[in-house]
Amino acid sequence: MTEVHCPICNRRIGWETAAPYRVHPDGRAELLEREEGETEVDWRTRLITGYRPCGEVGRPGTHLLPYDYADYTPITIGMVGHSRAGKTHLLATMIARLCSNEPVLGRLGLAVGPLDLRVHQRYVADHITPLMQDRRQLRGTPANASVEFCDALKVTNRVTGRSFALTFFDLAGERLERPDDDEVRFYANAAALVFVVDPESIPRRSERRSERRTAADASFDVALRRLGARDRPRRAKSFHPVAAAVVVAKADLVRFDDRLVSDWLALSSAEEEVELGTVERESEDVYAYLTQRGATQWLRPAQECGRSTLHFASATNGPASEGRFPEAFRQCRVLKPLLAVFAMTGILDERLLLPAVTPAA
Amino acid sequence: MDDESLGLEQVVYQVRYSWSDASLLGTRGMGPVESTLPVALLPLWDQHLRDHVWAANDYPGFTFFVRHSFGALLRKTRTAAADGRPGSTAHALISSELTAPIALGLTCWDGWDTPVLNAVSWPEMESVAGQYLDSLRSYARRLQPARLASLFAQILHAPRDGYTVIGDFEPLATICALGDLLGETPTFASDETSDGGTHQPVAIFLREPSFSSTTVTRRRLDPAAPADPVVSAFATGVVDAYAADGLQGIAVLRRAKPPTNLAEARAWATATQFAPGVIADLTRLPKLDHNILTRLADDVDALQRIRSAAEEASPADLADALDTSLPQPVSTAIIPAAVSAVTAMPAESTVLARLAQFHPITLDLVHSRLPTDIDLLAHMSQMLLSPRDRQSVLARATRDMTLDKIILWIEVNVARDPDGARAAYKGLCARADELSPDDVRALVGGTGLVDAVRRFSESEPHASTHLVTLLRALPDGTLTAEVVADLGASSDPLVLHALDSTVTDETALAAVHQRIRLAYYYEHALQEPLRPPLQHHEANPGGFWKWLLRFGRPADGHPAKK
Repeated sequence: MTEVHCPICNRRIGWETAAPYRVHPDGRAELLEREEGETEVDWRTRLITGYRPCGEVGRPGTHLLPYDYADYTPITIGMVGHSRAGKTHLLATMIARLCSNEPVLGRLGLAVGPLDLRVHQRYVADHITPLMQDRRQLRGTPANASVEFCDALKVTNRVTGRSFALTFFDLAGERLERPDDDEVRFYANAAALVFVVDPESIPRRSERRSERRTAADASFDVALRRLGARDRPRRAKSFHPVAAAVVVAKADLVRFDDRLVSDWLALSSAEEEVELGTVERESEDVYAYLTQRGATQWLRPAQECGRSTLHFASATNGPASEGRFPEAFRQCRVLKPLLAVFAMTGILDERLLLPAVTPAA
Repeated sequence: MDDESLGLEQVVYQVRYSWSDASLLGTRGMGPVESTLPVALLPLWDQHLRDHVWAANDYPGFTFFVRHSFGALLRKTRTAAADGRPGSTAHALISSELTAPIALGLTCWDGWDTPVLNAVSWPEMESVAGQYLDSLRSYARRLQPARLASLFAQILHAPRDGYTVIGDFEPLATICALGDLLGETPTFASDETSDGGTHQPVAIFLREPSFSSTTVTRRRLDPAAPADPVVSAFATGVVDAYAADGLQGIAVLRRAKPPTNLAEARAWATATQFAPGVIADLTRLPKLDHNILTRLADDVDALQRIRSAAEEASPADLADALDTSLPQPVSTAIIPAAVSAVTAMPAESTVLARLAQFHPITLDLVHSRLPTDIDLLAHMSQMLLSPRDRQSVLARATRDMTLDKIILWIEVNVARDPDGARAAYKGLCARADELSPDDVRALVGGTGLVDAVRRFSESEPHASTHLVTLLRALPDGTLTAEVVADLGASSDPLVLHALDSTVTDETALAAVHQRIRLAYYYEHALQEPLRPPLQHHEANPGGFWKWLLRFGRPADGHPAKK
């Protein structure tokens, strides 16, 4: 087994020797011990809902990872973007779609299920259900929340037979902008980062070039700076060893400003979303769009990360009113960035990203 | 940071947090948007404040902490953005004057969330805080006692450590109560979603258990969890006292500093209780549950502690403690000290009045505590002792008095306290062997004592009996014919009857009889016969004339004439 690191604090874990624990409803961790006469099946059944600590239980800052976390290839995906960029809504819709068991996902050979049931059920209750079922606008992520993965999924590629332990991080923008937040450590092991571009923050087309404010998203700067600490492969010394998906979220807000955006948003069928051959063309269009808007600062992740794709997406297809989304509420192209990340991180065959023969439009 | 660096001219600083594209620090998101802090200090305080500005629920949450000797109180509320997205806004007060109790009191300040941060007057705020703290305390006293006691007991396991309370519906009242009970109000966060993180207040309240992949290291108080039996019983007693009488009810618990560990907490509990669950406050004894009192009555050690506490108690506390509802062993432990208190401070009529409720008190219990002063003794014994015991102690008290003083006391007090006078008279009789013939002449020959005897007696025959008792107790030979003649000169039938009952000398007895006859004649306006008795004349020539000279008519002041 390769080294196992805690996805939250990056602490190296002696996985095989880490004792299993169960977590009580009040959060207390209790050592899980095999009972006398307990069958192997029963013991395994109990273990599957257990956890292994990344350090000494009882010490501050020790995290509990699903018991079988290291049985699969760990993939950590972090959302990056300033406050109200749209990270939380985007991720909630991404995971909702991913976990929807849509038949089209079968085409890619993906099987998705919760890795940490506790975490997943909470995420569904706090994010997916309110947004997808109740169409309620989600609360902004508090910057004082514990730095932890918000959901953990097990994704299996039936084609390759490999399973992956996915952990998602969705921290508050305020926190991601802090240059020296010692608790934010997922950058060290993140396989992919989803850089969320807030279209309301980038210069408007109508603005003259000289009037354009070019203050970049500080969270992008912090993320790229933190990635600089990681070892880079010799072959690509100038690139960060991470997959980056740059997503112009809330694209519905700018769909009428630019035909390019509306055209891509129009292509939001489930079949199109799983067709990764269009990613390259879309990336080119997004790159062009941001460049034309003078938002080149937002392109840094695409320029500096080893693998990158660019996307337009809308998690809600329109703004909320009084905290709720109107009838037009639907998701546009939210799955594609995630599937692109899958392809860039080896969950899916990377060759799926090769341009499709058929043009998207 | 100190007063100098902040500037003393403004005591209370304010900072408002809200979501903005660009805060005062140039950041996007939740940040300071309005501040009265010196500009240079805002970044520093932002680091302390920014993790406490997120509202957990729909109604306001409060967080109080101390940094650099400055207290900071934040009120955070949920807000909705223009599009309705739920967010938070927070208003912080920072002051070196701000303490945890004042912070609790300021949670109802009406200046929260004013549109503009106006200058505030600290004295006014302090006054508001004081008023609301009193209201909050009244509310805190009505919290569920069992739950509060359990929380308090668990805190005492590690009094200096932080703790989290889950599912408490009245966090501010609970903080107030726990602070009062421990003697130190903790820093607090009244409503949070998580208790993780560093630099947290001592007390954090969560609506429900926070969900986290991070192991819980912070102590979470569970009202259902067992606690150390010593502190558990202590906590129950303390909470009962607090619920009944507030801070005054737990005044005996006050100490300079709260305990720092379980051992100190146990020592504190032991030192401030009569018995497990019964705090060492005499005034609370009458308010205790019957079952507890019954247990207390059987606890020898507890009774000894009560006895000791009573010896140290103020008269006011003793008065409050004395209650007839107390089991006899318990009241018995208090009564001697109360008697001493009255003896030492006779003006403490309240204590005496409360003691009187226990009338009659067993003499053995208070004998050594009774005053020596006859006036006070008479007063106290009248209220506390049975007639028999009273008579005994008063009679005994006359032993150290001069005969003159005894007689004077009897004469002065007989009208007001005939029983006491009778008792003193008994003491006088006991010391009759000290009387000389002249003393007897003065005593019985005068009208004062005889009148007194008459007044404390139920009837003339009884009065005569009392006089007889005194006369018979005189040393042999005291009642000579001369003495008897002098005594009989008063012609008081009571004296004559007593002499008639006592005198054995025939001559003296004849003289007494003569005097009785004369008194009778006088009473009935008859002339006395001039013929002397034959036997006297023959045996004692010239004696008749002597008789005439000696036995004159009764004076006008004779009782028989009245």
